[in-house]
Amino acid sequence: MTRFKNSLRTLIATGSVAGFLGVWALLGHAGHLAQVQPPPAVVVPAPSSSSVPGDRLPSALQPLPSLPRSGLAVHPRLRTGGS
Amino acid sequence: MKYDEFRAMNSDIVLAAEGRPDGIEAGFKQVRALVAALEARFTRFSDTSELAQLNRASGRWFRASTELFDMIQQAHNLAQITDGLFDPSILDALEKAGYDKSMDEIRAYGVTRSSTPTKPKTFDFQAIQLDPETRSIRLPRGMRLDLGGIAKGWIAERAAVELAEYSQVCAVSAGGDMFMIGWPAGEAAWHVALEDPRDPAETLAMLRLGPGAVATSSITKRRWQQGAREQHHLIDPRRGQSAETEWLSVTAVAPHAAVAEAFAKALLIAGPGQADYIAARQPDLAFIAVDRTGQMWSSNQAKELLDVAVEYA
Repeated sequence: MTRFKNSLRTLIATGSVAGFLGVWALLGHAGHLAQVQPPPAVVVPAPSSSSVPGDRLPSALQPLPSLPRSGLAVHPRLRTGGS
Repeated sequence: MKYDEFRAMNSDIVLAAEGRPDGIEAGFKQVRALVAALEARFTRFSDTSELAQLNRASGRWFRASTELFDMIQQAHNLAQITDGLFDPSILDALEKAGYDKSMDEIRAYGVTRSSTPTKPKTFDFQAIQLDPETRSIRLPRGMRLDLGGIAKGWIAERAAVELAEYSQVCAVSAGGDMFMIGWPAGEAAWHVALEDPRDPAETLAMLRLGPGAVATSSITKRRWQQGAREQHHLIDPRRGQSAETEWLSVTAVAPHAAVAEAFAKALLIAGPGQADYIAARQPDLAFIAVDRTGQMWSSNQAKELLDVAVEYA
């Protein structure tokens, strides 16, 4: 029984050391990758411009009422629409 | 209100002014000459323009005119405040996308480069060096600028200030990028039609604006076919290619035309996910975006400053 306990202790200790070293190596490798390939520079939205999950529009943007096309008979000379 | 219309910068130019007819006519004539001179100075389609000389001098210090230095300095500030979404150093990308001659020529004869576009060089416009004392500019080696994203607004404001020498109430529109001075007689505001980007002949809304600037950037007008690929002139400086955006146009209102024009472009590139965040950098800015269904979206500032005049319906 004692011999069995000692074998079990040895197995647990060996496994722990191997697992620790494995995780250490993985973390070290991941850190190396992070240094070589930094994330692309993107503009991070401000926390204040929170959005509802699934809704990509910031809450500050508001829809404007659509006007009936036939209703806009006035066509002033000053127009903006890009060039 | 008297009007004068002509074509410059591959765009329709509209001058509007109130006052004595003889004075206004003299003002219109003066402004026509000014616009022609400024276009010749800032165009990228002429080897003799000052902009072309600056581009050829990249890597070296270039002593600029007061006008060019002012425009580049404003562009530099606007590039910083928009996180680089406004960036005039995209000329290489524009040309590789096929926009290597004027839009009037492209519409008439098609693009020169019809093959698959090659990857353009990208630059950090904010790396340019400016020396205000000597009005000198140094572009990093290889960088070339296109001022199409700021020049029309800048020229419209400059021309309006010139026209104001002849009329205290006047406006200048350069392809829809405009600057207004004073208040029209008997009116509470300037009435400006907001075009539907899906059909520019249609009007989506009437804007009632005070003195200042309004500018619109759209991806539906300056488009062309490059091989199998459809391109437009709004380059996303992060990718060096035509921007992929959910909006068709953005109209910006600001105290100065260069600011309105630059932000209209930056916000169109930013799209609905980031536009509000970018616009917040400029407290006196308001904007209206139009999506692919024709739905208009406004910032809070736009709702406060603009009146979409439903009474016109």
